[in-house]
Amino acid sequence: MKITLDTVLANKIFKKAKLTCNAALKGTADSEFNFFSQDGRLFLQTINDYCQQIINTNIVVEEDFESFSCEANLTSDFTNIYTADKLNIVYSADNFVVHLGDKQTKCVVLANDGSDFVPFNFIPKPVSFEVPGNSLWHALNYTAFSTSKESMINAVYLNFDSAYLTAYSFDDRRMSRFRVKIGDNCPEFESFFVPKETAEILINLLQDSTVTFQVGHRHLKLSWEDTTLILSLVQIDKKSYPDLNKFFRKDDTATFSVSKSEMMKALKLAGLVAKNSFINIELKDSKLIFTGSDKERGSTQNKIDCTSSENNGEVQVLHKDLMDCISKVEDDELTFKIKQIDEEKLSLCLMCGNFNHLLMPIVSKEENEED
Amino acid sequence: MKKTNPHIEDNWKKVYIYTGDEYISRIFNFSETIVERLDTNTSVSKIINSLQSINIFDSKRCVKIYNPNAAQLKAIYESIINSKINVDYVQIYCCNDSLDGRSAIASKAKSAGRIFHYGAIEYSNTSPFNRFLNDWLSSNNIKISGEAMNYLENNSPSSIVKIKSGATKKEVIVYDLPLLINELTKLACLDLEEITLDHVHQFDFENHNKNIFDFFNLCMSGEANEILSGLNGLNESHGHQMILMIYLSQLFFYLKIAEYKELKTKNEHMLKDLSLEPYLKKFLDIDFKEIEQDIPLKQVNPIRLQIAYNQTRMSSKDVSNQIQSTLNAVIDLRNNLSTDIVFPYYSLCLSHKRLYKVMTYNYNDD
Repeated sequence: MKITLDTVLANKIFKKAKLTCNAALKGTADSEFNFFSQDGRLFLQTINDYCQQIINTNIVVEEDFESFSCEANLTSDFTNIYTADKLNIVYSADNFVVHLGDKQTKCVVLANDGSDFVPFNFIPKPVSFEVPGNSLWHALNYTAFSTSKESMINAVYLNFDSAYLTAYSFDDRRMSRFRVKIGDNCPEFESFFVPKETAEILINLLQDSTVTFQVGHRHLKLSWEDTTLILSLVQIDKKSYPDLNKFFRKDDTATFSVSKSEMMKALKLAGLVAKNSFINIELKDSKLIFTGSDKERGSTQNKIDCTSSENNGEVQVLHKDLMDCISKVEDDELTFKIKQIDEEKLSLCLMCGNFNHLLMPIVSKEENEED
Repeated sequence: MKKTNPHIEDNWKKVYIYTGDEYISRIFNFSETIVERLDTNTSVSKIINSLQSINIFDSKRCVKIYNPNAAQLKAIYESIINSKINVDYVQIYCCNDSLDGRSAIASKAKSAGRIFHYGAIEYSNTSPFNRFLNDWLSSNNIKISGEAMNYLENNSPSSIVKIKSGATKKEVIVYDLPLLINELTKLACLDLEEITLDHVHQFDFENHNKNIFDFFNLCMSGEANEILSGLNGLNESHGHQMILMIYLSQLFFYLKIAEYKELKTKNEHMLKDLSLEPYLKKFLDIDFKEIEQDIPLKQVNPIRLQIAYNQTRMSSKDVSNQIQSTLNAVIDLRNNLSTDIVFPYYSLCLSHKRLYKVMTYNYNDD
């Protein structure tokens, strides 16, 4: 049984499929590609703890096609360095191997019949809608980075309501909100908790095309172009998620706008001594003073001019966290607000169009921050 | 001048340090809170973060720290003293007396009254039981009526635990607090403001603390059905032969009392007689020397003797009859005759002052 694929296409598909593999789990379905046929077409399936991806290769196969699975890492790596135009895939059921390549360049990959691929038990609900892939990508990209294992809910909260998609995430140091209008197809009062790991996979997978949401009891089925992704949802009560909006609505103590490039330069300088620690940012008379210090090494200070500012204030933020959120922003000018988050504490809030990010007041720095 | 932290007092009010039994201490939960669990492996900075970071949730937040080490305790103490604790409850489990009494947190917490010691409570020791129950009820914002409290004191479930007594271990009947709280939690779920006698009457607990002396009184003057239900109850907790043997030993005591009553023996003579004083050191060997030099006198509690004297209304003949019946019942039970047969017959015999005859073999009492 021989399948022939265009090498460039195969490489693209395998790289995509590998994103939902867990190569560390050798010898299990999680580290393998599963090839199977449906309606005369070849499909490639991969699975991990969080999601199941099915890619339609659009390659026509014969009716007697026998499904098989093979080791993902070797298959993908071989295809990446394989130079010929066409890649042949031949499954030998008797020897439990798959032959890749052609007569000149060959690779034999261990394989089996793919029977250990247990699909997710997706039980559909009668709810289905469409969302622009671009909007979903932005929502995830702007929020997934600010949740972590430190958070009590390590997931991105997607809320669909009144023609808007709002994504939220938080951990004990920061919180993000991204709000985007997605049009009339938006469902009312639908919300999902997407695990951080799945959100990061989706950021790498999503394309600029319409994504169809099929809601399940414990899963979500997303499909776009030739790809279907079934993902597990974090099962928590919507009411137990904190109301992050109230923090973004807090009164402003001061406001300032700066050039992104100027601020990045200042942060790089402060990062010389405080890369894994916190920096002090003081707004005084339309000037921003960045101070980084390390008790054992020394300290740096840099002043930059604000393009506009209101009042004065001083906050401390973790250097890494501030760099993370600024790197997400594409605008040339950054607008920050200093908010009174608590009776005593001030926090820095980045307000950039649809994207808002709040850095909570520092209590104590994790020793393993860099990890 | 050193600046004092204005939050210290409020901080301490949020702290609960448990030093007693871990399982029982874990009964104390605060309702409708977001709980974060930390343990020995949690980094110090994470603990500080959890205690001091702003609560972003709408509901109250509780941090539970299990078996903290010295460094963690120090960090917690410094947070209490120098900063503001932003969680609503901090529960620290230094159970089985693992809290170092010399540490700063231990001494300060003690003076602030934030150390809570909950362990097994011996049955009928009502004062610590009441304190435990009140603490649990106040943490759940529930009140209890006096009658209900009184009922629980006497009808709570019990269990038997082994506790150290000198070099040995002894079995003690204690309140089964987890079971009791389990049942009370069901009432708490109903959003009751006050637990009344009607509520606690619904509980049907297995009680190990059945008063064996009540049963003895029944045996001497009760109805057959009362004796039977007493027997069945004690059979579940103690076993049938054990109960009958204890009753037998008690009957021998009653036999003496009945004899004193009939002979109208004076109180001091009764005590002397029961302590075996007139009989000890009277046995001589062939060389006419005392066999044993130091035989201790039998200790008799004069109050117990007085109670038994007032209660015993049976004649020595009736007591002998009961002794014989009890012995015969034990014989039948030891011959594997079912309690379903022995107990009703035995109860009838006791209540009607008739002799229980052995059924398991052709026993001739002539």
